[in-house]
Amino acid sequence: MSFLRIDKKLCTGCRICETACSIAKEGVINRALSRIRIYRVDVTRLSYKVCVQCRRPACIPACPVGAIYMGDEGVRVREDLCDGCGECVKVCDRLFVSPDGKRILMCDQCGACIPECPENALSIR
Amino acid sequence: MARFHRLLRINLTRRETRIEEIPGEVELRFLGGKGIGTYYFFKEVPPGIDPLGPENKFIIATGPLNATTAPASSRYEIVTKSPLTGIYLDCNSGGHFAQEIKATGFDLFILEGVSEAPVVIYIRDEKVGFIDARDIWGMYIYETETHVRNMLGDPGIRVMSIGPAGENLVRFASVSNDYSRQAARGGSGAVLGSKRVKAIAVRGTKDIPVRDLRAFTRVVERAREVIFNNPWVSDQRNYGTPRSVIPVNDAGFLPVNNFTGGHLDDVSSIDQYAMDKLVVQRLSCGECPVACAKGYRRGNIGMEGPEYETIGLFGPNIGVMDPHEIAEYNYYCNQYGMDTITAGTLIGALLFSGVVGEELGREDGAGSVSGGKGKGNDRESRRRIVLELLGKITYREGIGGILAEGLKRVGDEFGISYHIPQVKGLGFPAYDPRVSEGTALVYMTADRGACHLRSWPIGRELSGILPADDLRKKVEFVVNQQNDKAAEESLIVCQFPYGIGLLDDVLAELVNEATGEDWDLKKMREVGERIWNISRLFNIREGITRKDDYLPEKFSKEGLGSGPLKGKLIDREVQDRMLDLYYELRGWSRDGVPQESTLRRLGISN
Repeated sequence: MSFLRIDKKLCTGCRICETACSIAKEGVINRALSRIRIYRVDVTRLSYKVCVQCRRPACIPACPVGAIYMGDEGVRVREDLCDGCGECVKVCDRLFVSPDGKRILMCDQCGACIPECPENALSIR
Repeated sequence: MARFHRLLRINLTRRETRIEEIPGEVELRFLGGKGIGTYYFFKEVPPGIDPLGPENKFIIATGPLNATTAPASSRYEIVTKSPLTGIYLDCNSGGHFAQEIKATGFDLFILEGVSEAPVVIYIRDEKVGFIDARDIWGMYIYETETHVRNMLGDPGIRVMSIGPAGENLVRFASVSNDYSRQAARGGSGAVLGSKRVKAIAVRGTKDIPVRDLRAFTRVVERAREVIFNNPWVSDQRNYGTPRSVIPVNDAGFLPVNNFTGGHLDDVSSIDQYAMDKLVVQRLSCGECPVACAKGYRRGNIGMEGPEYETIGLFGPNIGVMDPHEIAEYNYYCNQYGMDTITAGTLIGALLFSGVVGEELGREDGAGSVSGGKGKGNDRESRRRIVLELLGKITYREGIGGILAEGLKRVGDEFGISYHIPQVKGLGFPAYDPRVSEGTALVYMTADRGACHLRSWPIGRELSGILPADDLRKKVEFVVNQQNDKAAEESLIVCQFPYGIGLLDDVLAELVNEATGEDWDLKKMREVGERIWNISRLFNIREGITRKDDYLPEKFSKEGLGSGPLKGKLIDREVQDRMLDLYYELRGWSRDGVPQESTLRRLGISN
């Protein structure tokens, strides 16, 4: 399955990808609605979180309502079933609960972030 | 739109918060950031109060562009009364804290009063928590941030903190955020320390509204082009601020041996190419395509930097030419939470005047210990002495108790005022002001004391665009750029991508598309002028007069000791003429007091 790849040698943690994502998927500027997160963990270290389309996804069995499934293009969330309970997030920190707690956010490899990255650190693999 | 039109008032004494509306009139007259911060500061802080006492306020200000997709829009402003200078202070910092705190849904934060016990303030959207910090009081900066983030259990939290220097009310203690960014100048860290605030943790999840997202995105595209076409951006992106070492040294205004020399024959050990070899991780502030921060790591010594100021002042200024030695001093300043500029100028003055360092057996004169090629035990003793001084200052031990009081006090106490490079108590940045009349004027008139960030005429003076024989033109340039830069610091955007001041209409377009307001650069410049008059009124209330607007005597008596500008000084008479012109162009009296007509024109009541 193709997934969004972050080149850690190129990423500077500017997080322009986060706003690009929220604009593309949610129509607003809000980093808390992004499906890609770049965190700062130490004075010179970043941490990069985005769904990487695991071969054996831990999120699918974790979901109590079966909202996460393996589709033709990869792991996806059924928005009509997801209620934001966050059980999937407990087993994988590459997924995020929305600020209003009503749904989860998972990268679907739409690629909107790719041209926005000033370091060309993003690609679909 | 883009604005939340409200401030969050946090009373630390009562552990209460209040949400207040920011009047539209204030937004339109003061724009945001430094502007609105200065407005509230002047309104709420009475004259003569102790900067380390309960009546001082610590204001964190954001502007209409912060947290949007405007490039390089993650900077915040602090406005407070300086424990170091006793006058107006604003300082700003990049990283990611600004865009995070803005996303909590407030434009401005006013901290007032004093907490009974050490506290971490946690702001998560509108929720404010006061968390006991007694068990982490004393912790170094980096550990504080990691600890607070882990304790609160959200990797997206951003943290502002003070270190032991701020806790111990060192008058030039810094405020840090995102590990290695600092709002360092003037001792704002001590203000937080006096309020017993160890850290402020923030997490904002609000939408950042703009008038029309499509239209705003088009202007953002144009802003990116403007940045891409800025000829300074390429070097800044590739090398960061160390790119200044070679040109400053070539032009002859590098600080050498406590601002005696201006030039060294060989700076290759600390120039941009040498520093570039040490970079382990490129880093960026929020939403910025320039990404000029250079991550350094050697053993447990890590930082973003060293930046130019630290390279200059902990480098040639104290006879050090080894970047790893500089990085180590930088690291301790970062972890203790102390301004490297003040610490560097202070230590430079102490070493040079012989107050400390007899064991070094230094000779006098420019470049005598340059190249770091002094005897092995010279370097080791110097390193021991500098590290010891930094520690003693931080914990106010022995001589540190006086050093922590700042430059003027040290000058008085040890009789070395002549050797101390400062204006109004704020130490010189790493540029010798004797290089040009314009640079001298910038240090003389900056609102917070000697500061290079309010205007930067030197390039145009050296190139002849501002000719040597036209003092009026130079002064005019400085006045206008000071106003413009104050407006830029009200948006708030970083000067590295956009240039210093208001150099392109795109800045007004960004604000207009974000807010629906109707700005142009002229209106923005007027906001800047308004800010400069208010900070001057504040300073006058604190006792500043014309006599405080001069360089120290040494810089009108002694010329630069080396290099292409050897012998250059700025004599007293030239300083006088520049002040006369400066006051005239600002609409101030001959004593530097804003005139009634000027205040009326700007709509300011005293």
